[in-house]
Amino acid sequence: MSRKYANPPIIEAVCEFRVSKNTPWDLTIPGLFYEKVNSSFPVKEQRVIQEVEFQQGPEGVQYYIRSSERIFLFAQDRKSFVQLGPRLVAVHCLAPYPTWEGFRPKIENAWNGIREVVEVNSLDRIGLRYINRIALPATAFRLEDYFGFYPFLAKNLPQEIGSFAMTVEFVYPERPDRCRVRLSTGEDPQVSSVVLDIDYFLASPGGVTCGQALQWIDQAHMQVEAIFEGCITDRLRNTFGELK
Amino acid sequence: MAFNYPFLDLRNSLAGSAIASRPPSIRLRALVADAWMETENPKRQHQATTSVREEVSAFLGALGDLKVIVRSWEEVESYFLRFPGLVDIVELAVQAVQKHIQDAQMILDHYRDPEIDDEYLVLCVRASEYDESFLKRLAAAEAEFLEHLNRQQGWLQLTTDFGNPTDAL
Repeated sequence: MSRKYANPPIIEAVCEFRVSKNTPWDLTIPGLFYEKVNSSFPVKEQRVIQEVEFQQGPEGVQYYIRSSERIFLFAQDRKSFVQLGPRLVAVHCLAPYPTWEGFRPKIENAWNGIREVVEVNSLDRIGLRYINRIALPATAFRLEDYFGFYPFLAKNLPQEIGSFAMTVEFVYPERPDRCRVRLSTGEDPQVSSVVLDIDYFLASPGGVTCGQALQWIDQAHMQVEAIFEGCITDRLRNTFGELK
Repeated sequence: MAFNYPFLDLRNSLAGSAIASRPPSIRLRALVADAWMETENPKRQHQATTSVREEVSAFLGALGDLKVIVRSWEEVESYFLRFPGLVDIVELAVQAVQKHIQDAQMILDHYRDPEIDDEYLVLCVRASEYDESFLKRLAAAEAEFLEHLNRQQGWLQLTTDFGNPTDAL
């Protein structure tokens, strides 16, 4: 049974599908997709995104710049939206997080919507990502009092930290998934906070069939919850106001 | 650990592309720097799941290098998350202000009207001198992005409080 909080620290939750390159994709898809989801996401906007893609080549890491058009379809309150790009569908929820019971139907709506307008051959990647901003005391404190996931400092190292960023990628031998967890100091210099970023993703293209995608999402969500709960202590958990 | 800043190569890779006519955007440069650090380990080849917050955060962080102070960070970030198209507009606005008011110090803030349900971003420009041409130059800067802003949801107000730029620091 998952825990629920009155004040969850989530500032953005994203579920993203990247479909395989052999999936047909053309300019008519955004319009057709909009017809499928416009009752939930009626507000259309468009942006050109510059993306950087890194690939391992024979001479080291190579990077490529791509410009691609993205369609943003917002809910009326703009607290959730769908991002549609070439062979990409992402569903975003902002604070206040509407619980998994509120987020999952939006994912299902978008995924079913895209499958109704395009024949998705296979999935290259699925990602379920939760970005949390956690307020902390302004005075000196010990990270281990609040987190089960924090940088370890041996006793012969200085113990006072100004800022930090730590990333761990967990592997799951029994499934084709990985989970990248990053804990770092918050960007706002005026506020004492940390950002806990949990990105659970399908690391093996084609590792999940299109028909299994929503089942994968449910399992991914359970893993993300387990990681989140493992990353925090009861002391921090209590500040979120657990709902019994 | 050696770290080679990638932007010179980045400019070369842009040559001939559709976006070669303009330099990489502020947020792209920030994302490249982050991503480059992250991918120095060749085992780390997996893309991240798309996040608008990540883009916004990188953009806000990069604004510091352009003499823009971000006030009410969380409110500004939250507004950008709901109106992500404004990232492009604020970038245009900052560049326009720098073009017309060379020594400008800028403050990006979020304003919420306490009486009506209205909120928007404010880019407040301060200069070391406020001569007769200042307001004209401010208007000229605004003219460079206003048309784009009118096509977007959300709002950015360019203004000045005639303050001392060093007071903002």
